Amino acid sequence: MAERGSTVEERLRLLAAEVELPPAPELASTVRARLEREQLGQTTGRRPRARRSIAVAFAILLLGGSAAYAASAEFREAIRELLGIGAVEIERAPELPAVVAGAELGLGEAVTATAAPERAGFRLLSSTDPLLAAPDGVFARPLQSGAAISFAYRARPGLPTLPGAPGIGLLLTQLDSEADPGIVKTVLTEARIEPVRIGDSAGYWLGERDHVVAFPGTGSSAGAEAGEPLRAAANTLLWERNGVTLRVEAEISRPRAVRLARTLR
Amino acid sequence: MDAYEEIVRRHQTTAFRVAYAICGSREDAEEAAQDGFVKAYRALARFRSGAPLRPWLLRIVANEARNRRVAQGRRAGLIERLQRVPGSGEAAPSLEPGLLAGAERGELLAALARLPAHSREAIACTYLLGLSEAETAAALSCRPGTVKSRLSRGLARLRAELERGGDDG
Repeated sequence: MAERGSTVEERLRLLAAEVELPPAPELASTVRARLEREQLGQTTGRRPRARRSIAVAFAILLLGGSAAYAASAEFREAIRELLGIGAVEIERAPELPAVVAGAELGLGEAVTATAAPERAGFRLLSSTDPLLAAPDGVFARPLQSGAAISFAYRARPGLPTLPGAPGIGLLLTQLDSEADPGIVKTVLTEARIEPVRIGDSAGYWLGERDHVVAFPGTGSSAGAEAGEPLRAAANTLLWERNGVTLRVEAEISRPRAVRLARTLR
Repeated sequence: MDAYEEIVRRHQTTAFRVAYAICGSREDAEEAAQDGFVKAYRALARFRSGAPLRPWLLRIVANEARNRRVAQGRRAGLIERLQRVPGSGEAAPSLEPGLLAGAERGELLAALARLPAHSREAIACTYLLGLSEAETAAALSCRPGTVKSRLSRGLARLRAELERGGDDG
C-alpha cells in the first residue's frame, strides 16, 4: 500500500510495477527472413535500387567487406554499438596492427586466487567445469576502479599453447562491464564475427586468427606503442553476464567454448 | 545479416513496447515494430554518425506505429486501456495487484487520463515503459528538451489533479 504523502513520481513508479504489458514477440528471425527475401528479389517494393545498394553495403561491411565501407562515417557508430560487448570494444580494420613480438600479455600482476575477488571490485563468476576449476595463475590488471582479473590455465593435450602466450592454453578474463578502459579487439574487415547466445546473454565468437587484442592503459617492455601491447589472439568468445564482461581465449571449438561459458555463473 | 539480426534482438522488446503504447494492440504493435526494423535496415546509410542507435531505431518504429494507428482509426492510448475493465477480448495490458490501493490506483489513472495528450504520453513512456529521455523523444518525435518540459508540466498538473481529488499527491 502506498503511503499517503508519497510523491507523484513514486506513485507512478508503483503503478509501473503493476503494469503487465504483453510479452514482446521474437522479431529478429522474422525481420531477417523478410530482408533475405527482399535481397533475393522475392518481393516488390519502392526504390529497389536504393534498397538493394544499402542492404548490400551493410552486408558487405558486416560480413565481408571493403575498407572503404569500414571507414564510412554513416556506419561507424552503428557498428561500434553493434560490436561492443560490455567493456570490450571491437574495431574493424582493413589491416591488423603489427603484433609486437614478446609483448607482455597485459594481464597485470600475479595475485592469489583468494585475493582476486577483492582486487576485482565486482563479483567474479565461477565455473563448475573441471577445466576451469583450478587456474594455474591468476592476474589482476588495475583499472580506474577495481581490476580486470585473468585466470590462466596451462597448455595440455587438447588445449594447445596460445599464440604469444608460452605455456598458456586458456585465458579467462573477467572485468566489470562499466570498466574504463576495457579491452580493445581489432578485427580484420572481412573477418567473420559470429553472434552467439549464452543463455540469455548475447556474445560474439571470433573463430579465426584474424584479430588482435590490446589492453589500453598497460605498458609494454617490448616496444609496443605506449599503453597498447598487441598480440594475435586465438579463438575467442566474448559475452556479458550480470554486469560482468567475460572473455575466453583458447584453441577450442565454438561449441566447447559455449559449453564452458554456460558453466560460469 | 547475422549482425543486424542481433541488433533487432537487442532492441526488440523496447521497440515493441513503444509501438504498443502508440498503436494499441499487440498485433499492430508487432507488425509496426517489424516494419520499423525492416525500414531501419534499408535506411542505415542515412544513420547520422555519432548518434546513438537505439533512439534512431525507436523513432522509425514509432513512426510506423503512428501510421498504423492513423490508418486504422484512433485507438485508445496506454493509460486509457489500463483504465478499462479486463476481459474486453483484446490483448490488453493488465494491472497486477501491487502496492497501490485500488482506489488510489483508480484516482491516479483517472488523473493521468485528464492530462493533455502530450504530457500523458511523455509520462507513460518515461514512467510506465521505462524509456530514457532520448528514447521517449524518439518515440514521440520531439526533442529531448521538449520531453523534459512536457514531463515537468504533466507532473505538476498531475500533482494538482490529485490534490484537488483530496489526496496528498
